[in-house]
Amino acid sequence: MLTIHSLIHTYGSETSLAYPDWKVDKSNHSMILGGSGSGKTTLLHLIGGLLKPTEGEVIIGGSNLSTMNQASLDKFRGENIGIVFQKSHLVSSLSVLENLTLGQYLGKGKVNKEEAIEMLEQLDISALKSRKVHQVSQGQAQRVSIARALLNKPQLLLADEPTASLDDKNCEKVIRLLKSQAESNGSTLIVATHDQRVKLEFENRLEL
Amino acid sequence: MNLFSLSIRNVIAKPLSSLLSVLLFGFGVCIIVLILLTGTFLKDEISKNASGIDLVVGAKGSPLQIILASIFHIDFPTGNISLEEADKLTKNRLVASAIPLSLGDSYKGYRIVGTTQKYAELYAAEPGSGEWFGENMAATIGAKVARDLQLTIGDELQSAHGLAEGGGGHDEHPYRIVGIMKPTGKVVDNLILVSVQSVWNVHGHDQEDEHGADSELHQMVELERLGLSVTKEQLQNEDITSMLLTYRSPMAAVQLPRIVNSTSNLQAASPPYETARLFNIIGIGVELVNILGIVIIVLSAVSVFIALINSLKERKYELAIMRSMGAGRMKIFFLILLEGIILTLLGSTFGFVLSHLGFGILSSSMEQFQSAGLFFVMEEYYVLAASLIVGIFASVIPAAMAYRSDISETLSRG
Repeated sequence: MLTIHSLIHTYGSETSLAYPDWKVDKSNHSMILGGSGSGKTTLLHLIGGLLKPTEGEVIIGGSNLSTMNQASLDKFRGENIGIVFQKSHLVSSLSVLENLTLGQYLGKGKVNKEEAIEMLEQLDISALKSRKVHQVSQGQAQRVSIARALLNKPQLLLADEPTASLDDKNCEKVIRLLKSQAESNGSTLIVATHDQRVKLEFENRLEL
Repeated sequence: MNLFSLSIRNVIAKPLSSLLSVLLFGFGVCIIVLILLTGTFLKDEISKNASGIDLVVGAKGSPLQIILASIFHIDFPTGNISLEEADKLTKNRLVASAIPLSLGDSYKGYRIVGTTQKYAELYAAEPGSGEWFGENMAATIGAKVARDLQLTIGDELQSAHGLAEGGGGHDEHPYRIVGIMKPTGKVVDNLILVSVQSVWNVHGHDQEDEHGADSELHQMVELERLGLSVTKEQLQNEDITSMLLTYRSPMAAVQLPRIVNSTSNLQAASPPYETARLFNIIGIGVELVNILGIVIIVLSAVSVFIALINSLKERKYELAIMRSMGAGRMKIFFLILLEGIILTLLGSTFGFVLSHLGFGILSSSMEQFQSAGLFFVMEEYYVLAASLIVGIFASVIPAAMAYRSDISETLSRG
């Protein structure tokens, strides 16, 4: 599913981060564990194709991201990778449902409202569909961003510090939610976090 | 959901800053289009009313004033010319035809013109009801006069001296309306046409005087070119205000004005020359207002630019997320560009509507002119194209900034 191989990323001309080789099999939900400054967000961006590595390879489902040009990388990302960021960053001029259909338009070029509503139902937030983004709570917004990331049924679902600001109870809930949703949409989940609480949830761990 | 609807939503999401940009742009466009419309309308109006008139001859004075008074009926006449001198001039072989005008009286602000039927023919006017003003003290009135003053055939008019309301009256000599002209869209719609003799009568030059009826002075004389038949006494004593001449040959355009101006009391005025001079005089003012319009448009371009830059700062995460969802750089570039173009297009649409509306009100409030209604001029398309270009200019830098932004860096900070 995912292979990273002798991956090095250089910031500016001095700081450079070298990552160990790592493999994630399909449906083997995994995590990247590390303190702040350890480069886990950078690694997540490298895997998600948001950053190009200075050296080494990122291979997802047989496609080598390192050799793609910008346009095909954008296209690949839209079709194959869903990302849940630490903050949900929904598009504020749109409603909840429109945020999802925007994701469909950008990722696949086609809008399917029924699918989007179905996804909201799966996450128990279909009641919010016509609300403006600033009218939903932070927790609800995170669910919307999970829905948005999964809508195009990506091969990989990446989550950056999804539990950072949550209490123990909600922390567990969110991880369970991410896992179950990834499973029901056929995606493989990779969580990048410093949060030791979620360590036991994943067997395949890359510690930085 | 697509780029266009997303950019519209983004414009709506900031109603105040969008409104400011749209208003500024709208007013800039409005000023420029208004000047275009007014200029075109005036030129049109002038050529419509001056066609068929090669030369106007009046009393010595400003030639522009003669044109304004005799063709457009907006200024005061320069004075009178004697009928005898006028008649002499029309006998020149360079003159093809002549229409006499006797101006100076009005009824409730509408001007009374003593003339012949040829004047009405010049504007292809026909009586819609009733007949022409042939006989003494009969009047045929323009369509607008009839409509505005609620006049019908058989009504009587007491003319007043002067061209404004409230001049001294000629109460003892009322005109009787015998006909109402069909609307022509030209200056005759605003006029009350009577015979030249009627004007003389009103001013107290009655033929019943001390001379005997068989006196030589009462013999009728035909002034063929002018289309008048008068007594010898009238020929000697009476005045008219001006004459509208047509040339017999192109040569006349060179020679006739010189001949006229060398006659001590007469002044020739050429309509195209004088109206060109008029446009030259007001041209500087028009230029200034035009510059004002352009300055406002530039300001609005700056406001669009600032609005986009500001919203870019606020939305950089949104835009980065959109990139992460598969939007290419070009999509983000066009999204921002579209927002700028939508703002300027809304602005110019607003400006066009405002200017046409304003012009409609302006032109219908100008008494001398017919209401122009809705009309468009070619140059408006250039204004539209130019505003589109301004919109692209104002948004291309913000769009390029969005295009170049590093999404990974943005997202790792958020």
